[in-house]
Amino acid sequence: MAALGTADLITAAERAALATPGVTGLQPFLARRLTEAVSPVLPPTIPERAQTSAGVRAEHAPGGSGWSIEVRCMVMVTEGHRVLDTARIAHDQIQSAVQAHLAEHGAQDPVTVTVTVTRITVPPAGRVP
Amino acid sequence: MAVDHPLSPDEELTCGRLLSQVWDQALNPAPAEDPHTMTCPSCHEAIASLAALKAATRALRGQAPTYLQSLAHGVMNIVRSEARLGRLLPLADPVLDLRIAESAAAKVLRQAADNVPGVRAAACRLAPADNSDAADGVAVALTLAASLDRPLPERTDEVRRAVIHAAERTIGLHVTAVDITVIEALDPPHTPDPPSPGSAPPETRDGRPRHG
Repeated sequence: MAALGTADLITAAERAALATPGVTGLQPFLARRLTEAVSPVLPPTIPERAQTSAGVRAEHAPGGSGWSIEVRCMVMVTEGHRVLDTARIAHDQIQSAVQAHLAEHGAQDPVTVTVTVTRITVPPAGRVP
Repeated sequence: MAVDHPLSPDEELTCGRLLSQVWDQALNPAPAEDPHTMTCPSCHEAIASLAALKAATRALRGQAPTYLQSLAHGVMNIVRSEARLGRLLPLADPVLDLRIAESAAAKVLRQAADNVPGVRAAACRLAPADNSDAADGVAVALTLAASLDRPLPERTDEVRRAVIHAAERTIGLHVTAVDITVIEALDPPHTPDPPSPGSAPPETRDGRPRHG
């Protein structure tokens, strides 16, 4: 059984979010963007980089309350799908992917997923995909 | 012989001269004629090395503030863009933790208001509703410019309906209130006169008849 790493968990959540129809991208968190901005003057490895990806943050709360996954995504409105519908699908897919990843590593921690939509694209009238 | 101590304040070149003296001499804008310096390879090499170091130092000194300014500018842009997201508001799901940034929702609602003829949206703010039974209720405050060719209550009611429709059907927000403030009067929307029978087709800007 392979060791459970936060980076792999984040990658699983990231892939699930981006595979959701209507999700056009992920928006990096402030800490990640600042880290990238100052990276030329910082050592190549700092702890924060292991905890965030482009738009996904994962925290394991001590005391058995499990994993808290937060995803910031950009959404395009599609025919018959509100932003809310896309966010629900993304939430469920991320939760399933993270739980499957944990199960592969023999972990059964509870998973709490928060999806935040940070940008909406509305196609011009008559061009809704 | 060179001085071996790494913290020595000066260095003696192989020709026997001190590095500081040779460098001072090179920096002198009107150097005294010195046959040794003009022909000594050790002095030449030392002067060339220090001249290169001086040029690099000067170049770095010129670049450093620019780089730091650029870094600070980049950091401030990132912080501002994060602040522009605004509040995180609940989407209308009573179970799941789904949120939307105020700026993203406001953009859609402003477009909905803009689509009402005779209206131009200015600012749109959203906040969790204070007096709502639903935990996911959101209150909208909209400021706009409107033309006065129709009664304002009629026009603002139309805007309110458009905003609620967009909030519910495009986003999935549970809107509990839409407060509208008209801050400016617009010229009435231009509606072209219907062409009279037998009249010539409208002309383009260059005076030629428009087809199609």
